[in-house]
Amino acid sequence: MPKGYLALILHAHLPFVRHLRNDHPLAEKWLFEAMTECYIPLLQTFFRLTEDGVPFRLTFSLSPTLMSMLDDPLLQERYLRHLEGLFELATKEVERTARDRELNPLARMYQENFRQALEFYEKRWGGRLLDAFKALAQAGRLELITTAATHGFFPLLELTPAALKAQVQVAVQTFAARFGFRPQGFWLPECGYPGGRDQILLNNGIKYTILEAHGLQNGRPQPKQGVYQPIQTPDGLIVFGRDGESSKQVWSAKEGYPGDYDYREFYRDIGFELDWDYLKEYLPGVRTHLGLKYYRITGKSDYKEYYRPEWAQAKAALHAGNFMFNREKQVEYLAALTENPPIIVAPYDAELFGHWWYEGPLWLEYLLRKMAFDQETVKTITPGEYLEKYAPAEVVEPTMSSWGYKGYSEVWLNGSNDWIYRHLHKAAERMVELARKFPAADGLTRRWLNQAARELLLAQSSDWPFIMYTGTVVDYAKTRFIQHIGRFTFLYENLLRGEVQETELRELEEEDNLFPELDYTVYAS
Amino acid sequence: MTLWELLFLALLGLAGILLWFRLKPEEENAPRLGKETEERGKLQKTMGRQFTFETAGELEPSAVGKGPETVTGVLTPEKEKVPEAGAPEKERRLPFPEAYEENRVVLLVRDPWWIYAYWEMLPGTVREANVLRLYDVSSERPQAFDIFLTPQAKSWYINVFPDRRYYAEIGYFVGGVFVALARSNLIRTPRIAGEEGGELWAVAETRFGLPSGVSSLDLVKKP
Repeated sequence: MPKGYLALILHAHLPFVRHLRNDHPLAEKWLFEAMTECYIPLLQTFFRLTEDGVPFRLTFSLSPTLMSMLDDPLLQERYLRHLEGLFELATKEVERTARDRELNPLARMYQENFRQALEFYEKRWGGRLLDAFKALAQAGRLELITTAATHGFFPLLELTPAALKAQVQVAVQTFAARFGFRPQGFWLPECGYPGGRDQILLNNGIKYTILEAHGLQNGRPQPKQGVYQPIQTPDGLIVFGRDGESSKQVWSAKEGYPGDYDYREFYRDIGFELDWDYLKEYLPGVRTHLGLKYYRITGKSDYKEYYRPEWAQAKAALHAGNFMFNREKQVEYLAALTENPPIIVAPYDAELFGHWWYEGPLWLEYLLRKMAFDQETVKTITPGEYLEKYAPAEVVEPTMSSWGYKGYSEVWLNGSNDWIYRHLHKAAERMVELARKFPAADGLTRRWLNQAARELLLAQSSDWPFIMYTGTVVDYAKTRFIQHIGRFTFLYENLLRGEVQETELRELEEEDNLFPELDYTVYAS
Repeated sequence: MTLWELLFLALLGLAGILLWFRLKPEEENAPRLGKETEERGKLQKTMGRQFTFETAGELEPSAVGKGPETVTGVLTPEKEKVPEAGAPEKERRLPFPEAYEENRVVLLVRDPWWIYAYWEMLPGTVREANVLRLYDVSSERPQAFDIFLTPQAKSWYINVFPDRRYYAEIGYFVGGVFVALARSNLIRTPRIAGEEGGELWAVAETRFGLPSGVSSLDLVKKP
């Protein structure tokens, strides 16, 4: 009998970056990078553990935009070609470095990784990674959950409650259509809790969600057992709180594991370093990361030494042991104070594992093996499984909160991005207006209304204001926002004028082709 | 210095005297006043919060930031909001509304201490709205505060208090009487348990978290 539980949650999300005409290859590359460096290695890890009989449990959240892209035949085909290109490039690298005793093993490592990824992706799963996730859920290892349809940040969209209803309903529909069951849990994008509106989740069959610690700790009344027991809101939604300590060990740039000097250096990539003519057929027209990186972090300066996989592996094992040790200590401490065995909820963005932190999947593998066989104090669990054993501790009304910088809405509402909200709110109201005006449309009008809802949802992605705030690819984010509001406004105005033409609609349907199950009438309710 | 700038300064000064609210014009994007930052830093420390920049930065779609831009039709919200001539024909005809032709004001919560107001006034409204009246309706005796707006402002950040309920009206004064042109939604700022329930907080913190500022790395015996 364990004294407590660890609920690891990986949240995987990317905005919808499918461009039919392939005119934004850099954005599409985010998806391909995440597939090669995160999703495939994580899935391989989970299967290895399952095949070795390691009894682990882990929660995996897949965003509806990501599910839509992973499920899209065009992107599956493009990705296969991309991955084949990487394998070819790594093979060229093996030849190029043939006489370099230090580099050659690294080139071979990448060649082998890509070979295995190809085998996994194409041979084993026929390009359908969602089937791999489903198999792991059926094997009892993963609990699959989802998040808002386009990852809209709820606290800034709740002005029009129907906008939240649609974000949730479309998400659950998209999930259920792909996995054959409804999710029990719902990841609030950016842990953004608007302070209420729980009924929207409950009406869609959602049992639980996860909040940042202060959303609970500032609740009314303050939960007596901190964030280590789930609580229930007055409406009946079950809420787990994020544990700050376990997240900091992994996330923190200063104290976190990923900054270890033996780990692979993210910023030194052959995409920036080798001859243009040699690389150009593998690059999308400009220099960018290719995923072949030969250096380790080494130290704080620009001086970098070659990556030594065996050193990094040893560190990953050490860090896994350290993480487990800390959870044991934490649980031993907490178990004396909580009524039921404590649950430590540790959510991370899945894209950290493998992309930013190359050794992340390996660390996770070591951690899950060690936890299964090296100790008995803490057991891995999913929130859903915990709720089968234990009821929520008390009734608490949590406050608005998020896991963003400073804990509230500032990341998504500041001088760089606040101009978007007047458009988002107005478009949501207009969508409600249309849904009420055409309560039972069919044929072309129905398709037209559904497409308007898709454009509205796409405009609501938290990714656009986030990118505007971080200042990375601001023009892309602005273009996308303006494009989706523009498309929505076009659909809205033309429908009201009675100018509904199939050719124009079809163009938009082909371009923004996600959410086939969407039903615009959700906005009328 | 133009007349407008002088007028702007004068209005600002006036507002400073009249109001308890510290105001923040929308153009200002710099860090807050030193004192405020300091206070918040203290609060965060006492609360042992751990949302660092890494958690916000985590979603950053990385790699692309390093490469040159390929996006065409670069748009800035402040100026022209229709795609440039270089954009494909199809995109150029898409309408991006500059305004929605209505009288409206909306409040959004940024955090326990700041809210954001945006508004729009119908063109040709009798007089330009230059006052945002904020109502604190948390208690039985509602209070109102007037914020004098700079000309052409379309949004404003307002310094408020945690765990209060507010709504706003936008309008102007006629002979000392406030005439409202639009009323906003009702919002509630997040509660900070530390402010009113300091002791409770301390109990919860020491019982169920580790002391602030201590990482479990420190609890590990160093080899």
